[in-house]
Amino acid sequence: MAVERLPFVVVGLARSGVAAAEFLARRGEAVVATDRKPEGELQAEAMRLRVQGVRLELGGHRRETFTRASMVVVSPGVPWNLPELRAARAAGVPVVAEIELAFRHLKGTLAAVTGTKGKSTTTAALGAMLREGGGDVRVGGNIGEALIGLVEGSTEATRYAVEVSSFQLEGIERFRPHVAVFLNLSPDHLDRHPTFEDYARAKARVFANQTAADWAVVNADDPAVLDRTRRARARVLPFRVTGEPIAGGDGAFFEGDEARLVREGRAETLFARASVRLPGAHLAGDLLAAAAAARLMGAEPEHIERAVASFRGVEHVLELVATLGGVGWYNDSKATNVDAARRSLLAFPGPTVLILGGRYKGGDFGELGPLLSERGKRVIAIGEAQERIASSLSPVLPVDRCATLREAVQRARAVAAPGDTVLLAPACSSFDMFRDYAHRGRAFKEEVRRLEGSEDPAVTAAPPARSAVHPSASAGLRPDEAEHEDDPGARTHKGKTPDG
Amino acid sequence: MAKKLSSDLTLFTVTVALLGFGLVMVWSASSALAQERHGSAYFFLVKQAVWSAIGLAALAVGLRLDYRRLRSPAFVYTVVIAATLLLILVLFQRPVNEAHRWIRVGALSFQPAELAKLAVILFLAYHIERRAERVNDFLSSLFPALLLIGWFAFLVYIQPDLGTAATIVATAGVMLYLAGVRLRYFAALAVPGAALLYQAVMTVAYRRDRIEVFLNPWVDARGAGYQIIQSLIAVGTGGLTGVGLMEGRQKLFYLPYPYSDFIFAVIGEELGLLGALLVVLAFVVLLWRGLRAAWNAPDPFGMFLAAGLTLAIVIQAFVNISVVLGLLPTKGIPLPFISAGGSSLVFALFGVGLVLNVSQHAD
Repeated sequence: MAVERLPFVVVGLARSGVAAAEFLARRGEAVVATDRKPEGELQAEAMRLRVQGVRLELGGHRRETFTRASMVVVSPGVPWNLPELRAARAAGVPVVAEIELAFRHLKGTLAAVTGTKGKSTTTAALGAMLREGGGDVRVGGNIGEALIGLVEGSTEATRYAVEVSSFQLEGIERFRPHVAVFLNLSPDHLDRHPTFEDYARAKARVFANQTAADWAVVNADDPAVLDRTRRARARVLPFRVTGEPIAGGDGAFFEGDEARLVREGRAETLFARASVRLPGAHLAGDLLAAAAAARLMGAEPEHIERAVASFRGVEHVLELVATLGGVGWYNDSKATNVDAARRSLLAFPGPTVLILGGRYKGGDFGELGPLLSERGKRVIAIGEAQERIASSLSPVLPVDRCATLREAVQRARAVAAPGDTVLLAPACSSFDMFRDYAHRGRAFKEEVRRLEGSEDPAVTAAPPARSAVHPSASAGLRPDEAEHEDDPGARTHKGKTPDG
Repeated sequence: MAKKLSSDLTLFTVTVALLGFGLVMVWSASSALAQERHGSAYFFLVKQAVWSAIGLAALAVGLRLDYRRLRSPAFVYTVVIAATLLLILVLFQRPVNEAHRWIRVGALSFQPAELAKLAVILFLAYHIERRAERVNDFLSSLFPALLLIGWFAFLVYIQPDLGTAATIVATAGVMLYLAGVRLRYFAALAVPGAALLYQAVMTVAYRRDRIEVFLNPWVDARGAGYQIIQSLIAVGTGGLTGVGLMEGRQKLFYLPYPYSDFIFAVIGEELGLLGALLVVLAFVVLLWRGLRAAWNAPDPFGMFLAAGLTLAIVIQAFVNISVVLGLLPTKGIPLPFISAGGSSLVFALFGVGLVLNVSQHAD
């Protein structure tokens, strides 16, 4: 009797799960993809994978599938203590995160960014700096495309800037970045990690497989991070935004108006603070960490300087449009499904006026209920989905309906008080009113700036060209959209596919 | 990363390339026959050019309209009813080659079976979207779908046009599979389906003959096996690179319908294996881009509409090419975009227009 080749099992059909299943299917492996969600909520993913010969088990998991597998690849959002995953481990089946699978197949040099806040900005900035120098640079992970979707065709010269979450790091075995950036650590995502200690330990796994040939870029201002660095085998390069000197020589810091790097006794300037286009001191820290990592990945200071000067953050992703009369206006037009909107909402602890709506594309708006009852001030519903939104959420908080985005913005201004946040995170696609999410985001910014024009001069507004990436200004906290990445549909490969 | 509202250029290019190539091949395959029968070598070429122009206009319509308006129940049922009425009406038309397939209005002829194909795809896209969460619920989801598919397959079958009926069933089957209908339903349907097909084929003399000559064309080389033998001779003569455009001999009164159903044989003869493979490759690209548009579609309706339209074209191409190569029993269905044809060409191009339309809405 021939030995049967056991299939790979991919759990969770979020972005990275779909990418992992496609990757394995393309390599001719037998793949079973499974998700708790039923067919009706996963049509696009299901269809895409079926066409490629992936077997699907939707609407629940089957234990036999997990125990008779050659490997189980787990998407973010799936709890590691899922009984079926435990059963797989008990049966001796390796259970890994998507980044682990990707790491085993990629060629080249990897920089991984983790932390509680600012990962996306840092990763994007790091990617921009590496790209300035040319060559094959791939940026992704929790932002943009999943790492597994980036490995194809990579060579030894390929360089990666990858955002990794604590969730992904829990599922690694050999994953070893040449440069690991650990930005900061604060209690967050305790819904998934039972204690802060577990969360911290998961993050610190980014160092677990590093050797003395690798680098750990760590935040010297954050004692929790430093605490986790002590057991790292890699060379440690601390960075510090506060301006105090770093003991022991090596490090990245601001000296006067310049970002400096000292490595093995040699000092050099990475960029001038004046070049930074992003507002907010916290972002300078992200750029400093990114610059240090870029340098360790071989970028030249001139490239770093140039990238810093042109870096403007990520448009339509929790983008601060303006602060008007103490109200922060944020554009997260890219949040095109319910889960993305929920994550977006998580970024703002204060009272929030949420603009929702567009063309309904699945999901249950009621899932926003618990969060909105706690921090929502009002929901403003636009577009085709407004009926559905009103019927799902009006038991929780007041829901206004507006015919146009302009009307919605005006309504939001009327109800928001100083200290509040107005957030466009529509949880819907934009096609009933706009060409795409970017068009919708720009329209929103235009409307907000129109308000800005009519405000009294005492009001402070973010200048148009300098919109922030993250809403730290009002909330004092940056979002960690990456941690809850279980997000089919919104920030997916779709937007990234090069189009013919 | 802002994305422009642009439709799939690759899909458009490959379609236009196939259409242009079709014009060349129709000219090559038909000029001698046209001179002989219609007194002008340009007879079929001009006809094909006119239909291509109408088809491109239909493509533009399919591309420009808001495809999401098509999912209103009023529209879907209008198409379903119109297709039904026309399919019944066509039975009372004067038969051509003993089949009631065409409705003639003046110089124009129209095949209601093409509308039936569109009606089934449109209805399924609409139905799957509405029943998304319960596709496997037999009574409310599957039964209405099967009823409608069966109804149109039956109406087309009695024309008789078994080839198009089979294309409809195959397209609908793949759409249901992509929608997540469990395989055991397909297994359960396979038994009565096979019985029906056996009945349909074996009780009709000419179909039984076609099966027999399919299994061995030489049992009746001058009768039922003639067409397929001539087709195979054409393809075989072509070799690797063909005898050269316009140089083929089989189209000169040996091979019946060289400019329509058997045009692929002329391609094989004149352009050889390489030319034939290029055509196959073009349909593979079409399949890939069409399904890509489907899985990137912003809503289930667009997704299944694009998938269904793409599949209908590619399945038809697959069946046509298989017939020409003797891999399937002879059926009278054209090779999309390439065979000389009227309404079938217009509907295929309209379908591509709709797929392009869906492709520009990738979220």
